[in-house]
Order: sequence, then C-alpha cells, then structure tokens
Amino acid sequence: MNTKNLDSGLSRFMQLIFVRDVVLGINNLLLHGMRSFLTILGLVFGVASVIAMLAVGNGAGQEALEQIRKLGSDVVILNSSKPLVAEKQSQRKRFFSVYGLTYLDAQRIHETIPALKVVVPVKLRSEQVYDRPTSVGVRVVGTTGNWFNVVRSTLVSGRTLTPFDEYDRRAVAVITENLTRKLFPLQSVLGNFVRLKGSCYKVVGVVRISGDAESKVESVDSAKDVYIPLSVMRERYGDIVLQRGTGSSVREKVELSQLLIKMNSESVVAASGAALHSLISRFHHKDDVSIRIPLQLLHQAQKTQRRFNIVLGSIAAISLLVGGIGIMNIMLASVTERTREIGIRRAIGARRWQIVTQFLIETVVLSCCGGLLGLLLGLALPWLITHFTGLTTLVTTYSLVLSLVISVSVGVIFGLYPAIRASRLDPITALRYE
Amino acid sequence: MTQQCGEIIRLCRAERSYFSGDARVKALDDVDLTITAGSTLAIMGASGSGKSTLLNVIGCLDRLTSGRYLLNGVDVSTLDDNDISTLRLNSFGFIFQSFHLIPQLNVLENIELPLYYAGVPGGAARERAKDLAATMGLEQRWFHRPSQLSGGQQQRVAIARALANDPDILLADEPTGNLDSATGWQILAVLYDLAAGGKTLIMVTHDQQIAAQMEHHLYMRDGAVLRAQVAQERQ
Repeated sequence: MNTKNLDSGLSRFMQLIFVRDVVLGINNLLLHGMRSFLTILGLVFGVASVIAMLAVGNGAGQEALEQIRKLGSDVVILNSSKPLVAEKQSQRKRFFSVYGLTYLDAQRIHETIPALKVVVPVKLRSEQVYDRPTSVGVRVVGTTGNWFNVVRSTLVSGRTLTPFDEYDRRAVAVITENLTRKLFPLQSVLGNFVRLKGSCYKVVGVVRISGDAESKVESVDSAKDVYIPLSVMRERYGDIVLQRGTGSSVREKVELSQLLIKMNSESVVAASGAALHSLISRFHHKDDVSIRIPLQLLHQAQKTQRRFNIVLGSIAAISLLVGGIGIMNIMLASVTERTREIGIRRAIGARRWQIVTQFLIETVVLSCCGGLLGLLLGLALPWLITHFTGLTTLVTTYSLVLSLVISVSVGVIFGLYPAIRASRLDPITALRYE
Repeated sequence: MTQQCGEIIRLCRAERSYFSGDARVKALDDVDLTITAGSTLAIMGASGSGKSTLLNVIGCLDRLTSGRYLLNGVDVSTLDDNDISTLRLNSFGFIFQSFHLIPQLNVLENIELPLYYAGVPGGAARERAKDLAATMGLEQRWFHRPSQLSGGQQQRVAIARALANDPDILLADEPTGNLDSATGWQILAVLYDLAAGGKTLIMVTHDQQIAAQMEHHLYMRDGAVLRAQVAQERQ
C-alpha cells in the first residue's frame, strides 16, 4: 500500500476488518447456536433486571415526586401540633390546653416575611353530616379564597370562595366532586344546602382535587373537604374544641390549624423557611408548630430515590458481572477449542492484535445480542409488573442506553482476557493442537 | 524477484533446543545453511531429525535459541512479533501436510484470509481469490467447505492461500503426506511449476523420488546437517 493513500486506506482497512470480523463472529456464534444462547442468558437477565429495577425504582420515585410537587415547591406549610412534652404544672391547671398557630401569627408572618406571595389561614374540623341515609364524614376547612390559588385543584362548576364571602360572612360552601356523589347523588349540587352542626351552607362551587386518594405523601387537601369562609367558621365553631369520649376528653384551644404560605419563587423557600422558624420560635415557647417544606421533602425524596437506585443498581451490577463471567468462561473454552484455527491464522501471517480483534468482536457481538434480548425482556417486565401489580413503573431512555453501554462493556472487559490469551498462543504449539 | 541469484536465507550456527521433562533436546544443532533466491531445496531425514523444526525456523514460526538467521540480510531475531507476522504474511507461503484450512470458512474465504490480514479491500481480495482458485482448478468449488472437498482439492486450496500475497518463498511440510500418490504427483507438479516460475521452494519430504526433482538436498539426523548436496542444476 502506497504512503499516498495510506490515510484513506487505513480507514477503509479498519472498516473492512470490522465488517468481516462481525460477519465471521456471527457465523461462528451461529455454529454453536444453543451454546451461544445459553451463554448470553446470564447477560440477558442481567440487563433485563437493570432496566426493570430502574423502571420500578423510577416509577416509585416519580409517584412520590408527583405528590410532593402537587403541594407546590414554592409553598411552606405550618401546622399546629399538640406539644409532646408534658405541660408545666401551671399550664395544666388551666381548663384548656392552648397551643398552635394564632391569628396573630398569620398577621405577623404576613408583615415580616418579605418574599411572600400569600398567606392562607386554615381552620380544620372533622364533622359528620347526619341528614342522609348514611352519615357522611367530612372535613370542614375554614379558609379564604386564596386556598384555591395555593392548592392546585380544578373548579368543576360554580365558583370558589371570594373575599366578599369572608367579609360578609356568607354561609356558603365549596365541596369536592367526591363529596357531591355522596351528599347529592341525585340532586343538582349548586344552590343546594349542606348541613353542618346545625348550620346550613349553600353550595356555590365544586372542585376536583388532583391526585388519588391513596397517596403516600400527606397532601394538604382531601377528597372529603367542605370549604367555608374562615370568618364563618370562626363565628360558628369558635376556637375551642371540646370532645368527650370514653375515658378521655379533649379540651383545647387552637386558633388556626394550618397556615399555607406561598413564596414568590422556589429559590427563597429555604431562606424563608429558616426565617419562619425563628419567627415562630420567638412567640411559641412550646414546640407546637411544625414547619413542612415540600421542596425539602422533594430533595429528601430525590436523595432517597438515589439511594434506592444505587442499591438496585448494585444488585443488577452483580447479575451483570455473573453474566460477564459466564461469557468469559465460554470464550475461554472457545479459544481452547479453536487453538488450531488460531495457530493457522498466526502461521499465515495474522498479527496478535488481529487475533485479539477477532475474538473481541465475537464477544462483543455475543454480549450485544444478550443486551438486545435483555432490553426487550427489560421492556416487557415493567409492563407486566404494572399490569399485574398496579405499581407505577417508568422506563427511561437513560436506563436503556445505560444497559446497552453496559452490555458492550461487559463484552469488551470479559472478552479481553480470552482474546489476549488466544493471541499469546505459540503458533507451532497451536498448529499441533488436536 | 530482482535478486534472482542473490542469497535469500542464511542460517549461521543455528541452534534450537527445548526442554522435554528434564532433558534438553536439541532439535537443531549447529546448522549452517544458505539458500539462494529461486532455488529449490528438499529437506530429508528420519522423523525426529529436526527437518520440520528447520522449516518452522525458516518460516519464522519458530525462533532460534542461538545462532543467527538472516532473511534477505535482516537478522530475524531483532524483529518483534508484529514484524515477524508481517514476514509470514508477505514473504512466506506455508503448505502443510494436513492442509490446515479453517473448517468453518469456504474455499474463497480461506484463500482470502492472508489478503484480509494484509488489508486488501474486500472486492479486490475476492477477485484475487477467484483468480487463484481458477489457477488451482477450483472454479466449481468456491463455496464449498474444506470438509466437502477431497484431500487433493484441499491441498490446492492451501496452495492458493499460500500464494495469496505472492510470497517469494514457499515452505511445504510433506505436502503429499496425506494424499494418494496420483493426487500427490498432481500437487507436486503444481509446486514444481511455481518453483519454475521463480519461487524459492523448500520442501520437507521422506520420498527420494520427490526429492529427486529438487535442486538441492539436505539430509538431517538428530538436528544436525548430515549431508548437503546439489542434485541437479536447474535448466
């Protein structure tokens, strides 16, 4: 070959070697079809398990993330919670245990936190609606119209709460679509009345809350919500809860159950969370307010998911390793079996690297077949899992690419040793090998 | 082909020994040999006399333990494995007693193999393989596997393969050993023709009759050259 066309010649040469070796490799593998198939089986399952495990892991993670995202990543939630530590003697003497967020807190937060968009005060009470064939449990939510801006829900019919409802203390209610089916199965909803604790509320709107009822992450809204203006709730329910049960009684005064605070942007959420914490701890000496930041939960969930993926990945990696060792084993056997062929090739002038290439390509072809079969199986498995167990699975392109890359690397890594061994054979000994 | 009369192979005090158990066996013992380009040489001797080892050393399949081997004036011991493979590829054509074809490749593919290692593009290699097959009378057998061919045909394929890169030196290790005499003579005729065409032919054989056709004879015993003679002058 002239030096002139060496460059173009070289690339053509490589291409030629490649195509021929691949064809030759496939032929050699087809010669022992069953054996080749059994060899790649380990890799097939390895790759399939990588894809399936990642799909299940991603599916689970996706579900959690979806739910957290629904709360809104720019929202901070303050909850009143009954302090766990024993109250001091002086406080115990009081008739009510007083704790939780106050109207004043809402006011203070509204005035102090700079990057805040809206503060939604929420009062919650569980209630039963008795004037039906069966009693229906509802959750009465006293709030303002801003609730519907912060919590993502879709308005099905009518309207949501307005500031006028608040100011005029109108006895109106917005109920969830779910509740309409229980409360008004046959009647038209809007304009009808729902009776709670002796008061009637006119239904002015129906909303559909997003997400399913069996969500793992606690969401702010629930399927059995009845939303009424906060001022009305305050007027009719008061702040004091008295419940007498058998052996225990609840006597407590909680002004606000919840404050939903929507920030201007995601970036200020962490800082505002800290500011809220110091603000609350200044005025609340008991540990009676918990701060929930969905964004942090999101980070937490992402972290958990990463850990989950690493664990699943390691398991899958082990199965890939086993598959790779299986391939190496067979290739070593194949090298021994074809010692004479290697001797012949070396005798007629094959260089060492050409022998290495030949065997390496054979292994890579083998592992690619394994990878592709594994890919198909890996696509089928999550589908079957979803079909039979109802778990959410998510096959990502990333996992498909990853598994193919892995199977090729397995071929190269585990093919290298047998290939090098083949090329190191002494030509004469190899020729005489029977 | 320019140095028709020049010396092509020179062995000086060539020694090849290996260990068989504890004993050190000298397969080649102090061999001096000069071969001129275009000549023919028959290496003869009893089995175990080292004739195959000598052929392997000449063909760069084996290395000397001591002594020097000059091929076209180049000391082969200074070359690395890659260069030696290139020598085998371009300068030598091997013909073996048991043909040594690759069983899973067909006739054309077997002949193409050296071309392929030399980097000849696929189309050109195929053309050359077809030409070679034609000269060896194998036109009808292109896509047969070695197992579907007779011994004589297999040896023809092997010769075609040996000729693929147009080497100067043909090395034949008892090429007729596995053939019946009629077929054997046909194969030999092919080899003699090639030698007449200017190739250097070195052949290991038992058969006096076969050797009689060669210019130079080398008798070996226990790894050493017993007797070297010029049998006939080439016309």
